[in-house]
Amino acid sequence: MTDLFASAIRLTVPVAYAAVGETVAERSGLLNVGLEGGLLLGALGGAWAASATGSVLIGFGAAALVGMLVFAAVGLLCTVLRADQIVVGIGLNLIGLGGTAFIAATVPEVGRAPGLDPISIPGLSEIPFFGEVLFEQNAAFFGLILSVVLVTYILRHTAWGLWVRAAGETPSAVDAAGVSVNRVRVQAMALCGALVGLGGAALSIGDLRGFTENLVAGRGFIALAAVIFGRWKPGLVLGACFVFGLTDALRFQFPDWGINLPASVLVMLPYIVTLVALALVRKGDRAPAALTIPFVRVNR
Amino acid sequence: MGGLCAAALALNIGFDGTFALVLALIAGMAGGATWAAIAGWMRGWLEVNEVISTLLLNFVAISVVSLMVQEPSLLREPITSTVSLPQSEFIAEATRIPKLFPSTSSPAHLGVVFALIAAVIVAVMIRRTVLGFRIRMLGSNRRMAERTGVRVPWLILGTMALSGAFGGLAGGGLVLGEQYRLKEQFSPGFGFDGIAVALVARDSPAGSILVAIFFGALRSGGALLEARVQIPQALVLVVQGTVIVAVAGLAHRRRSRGRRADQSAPSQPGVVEDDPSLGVVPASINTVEDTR
Repeated sequence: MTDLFASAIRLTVPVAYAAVGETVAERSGLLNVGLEGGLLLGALGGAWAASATGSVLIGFGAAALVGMLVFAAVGLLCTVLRADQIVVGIGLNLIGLGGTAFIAATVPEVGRAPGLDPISIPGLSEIPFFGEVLFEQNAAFFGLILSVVLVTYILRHTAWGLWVRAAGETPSAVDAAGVSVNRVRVQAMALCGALVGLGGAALSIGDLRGFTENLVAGRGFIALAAVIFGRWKPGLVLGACFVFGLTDALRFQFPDWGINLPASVLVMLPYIVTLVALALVRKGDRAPAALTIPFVRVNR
Repeated sequence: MGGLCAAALALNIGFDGTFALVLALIAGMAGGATWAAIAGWMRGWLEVNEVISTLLLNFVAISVVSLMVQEPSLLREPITSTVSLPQSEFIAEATRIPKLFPSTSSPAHLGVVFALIAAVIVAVMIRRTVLGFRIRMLGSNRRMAERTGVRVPWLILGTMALSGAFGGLAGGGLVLGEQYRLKEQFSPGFGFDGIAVALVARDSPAGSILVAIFFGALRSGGALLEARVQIPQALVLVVQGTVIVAVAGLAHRRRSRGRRADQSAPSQPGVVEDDPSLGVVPASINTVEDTR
């Protein structure tokens, strides 16, 4: 059981970074389906920087920077140029998949990167069960918890967070208050990008210790579903990600428990759970009202 | 799923020949239609964004195909040695799609003709029939469609199923016209190319044919690049992605300016209005609306 939950958390971390980032973007009114591409780019950027410098910290920093720049550019496309958000996202996913595979094939060093070791927090890690599950994780996990707390605080209690939420609900009010809707949205996308980049690095540096082609394998889309499932609230989104992480972890545990299912059935599980979860949660009631709608000021 | 259903039928029907081929292709279309209809149902009744649901369904479908060809009791070829791969047996010669130029080594098969016919059918259907009109109305203004008595969820389901049927035909063509057996991950991302083509062609069937040829050329050029000068084929995806982003980014120039795009007029809380400014794609594509 401890193994199951510890590995569930390990599998949750990258998805959760991306999902929490996406929450910020969606609350500002931008639906960003390019998470998959962003995760790949972050994973590659992180692994590349970490293997070049030998520093894990620089790796994570580089990943966050890559994500931030890419997503800020996407944000500009979707706001100033009013490009269709879904179309741009699909394009970004292709660029991410192709670009990272291209670089990984050209720069073989990205295949090996220094990794993160689990940190055990003295005292707390001795608590039975919870200690092992929660307090023997690597720094990426603690970073995630910190990020969730920070994002929740920023969205709820800061002026900028209010602008973000307003930009997603009634952008005209933001505009009337003299704040640029597009600027707020691009900033939200940049923050989203930084978190997605970290998620990518958590996967490539934190977990696998190197970049391999398409290591994200659909996690970006699971993160998108988790945002809906978590009703656009960072805490709930984190919980939703954990549910998916748990399903993912189960497939590694089933053989140990003597449950023998064909490998391909196990691979399907997280996707099916996600689909069922999506079907159970009715969208609509909580979605930011101005999601996917570009802001254009009325003619004066 | 189209490839799977087509292969399953061709392998198990018990007789070979043109009739079996036609049945297998129909099975492929039915398989694709059913699979896409799941996403259509989720969108129509449960308001689940189809971008996410179809992507997840992709992963499930890929695993289903793997399962089919890995289990000897399903479609896997008899395991004769340790080297036998997870794939089905070959499909009988007579049940394969005929080549266009049998005397040459050209891999082109009758599927090319199917694709052209499909484009014509879709073009006529969209522009000239009641169903096509309803589909266009649904895409540009859902509320209008509702008011005029269209049963919107059913129309969404039907449209998705139709789209899936064409996808299934493509999968069937791949299996029966080119690979002649069902393999794991038999499509190297052609489905995504299809989305990309439709996006770049701005939903025009004739344009789709042209863009498809362009993307096909990119793909085979990419394979050559990799074979001849060791430039990884993945670069092709980058080119495709860049084309899509560029098309999306430039689209706004064609939109009429100054039209109301935001609900800047006092809007009712929670009501998302249709955005008339998205020129490329039908205005309400993907905006899941609040139906209260």
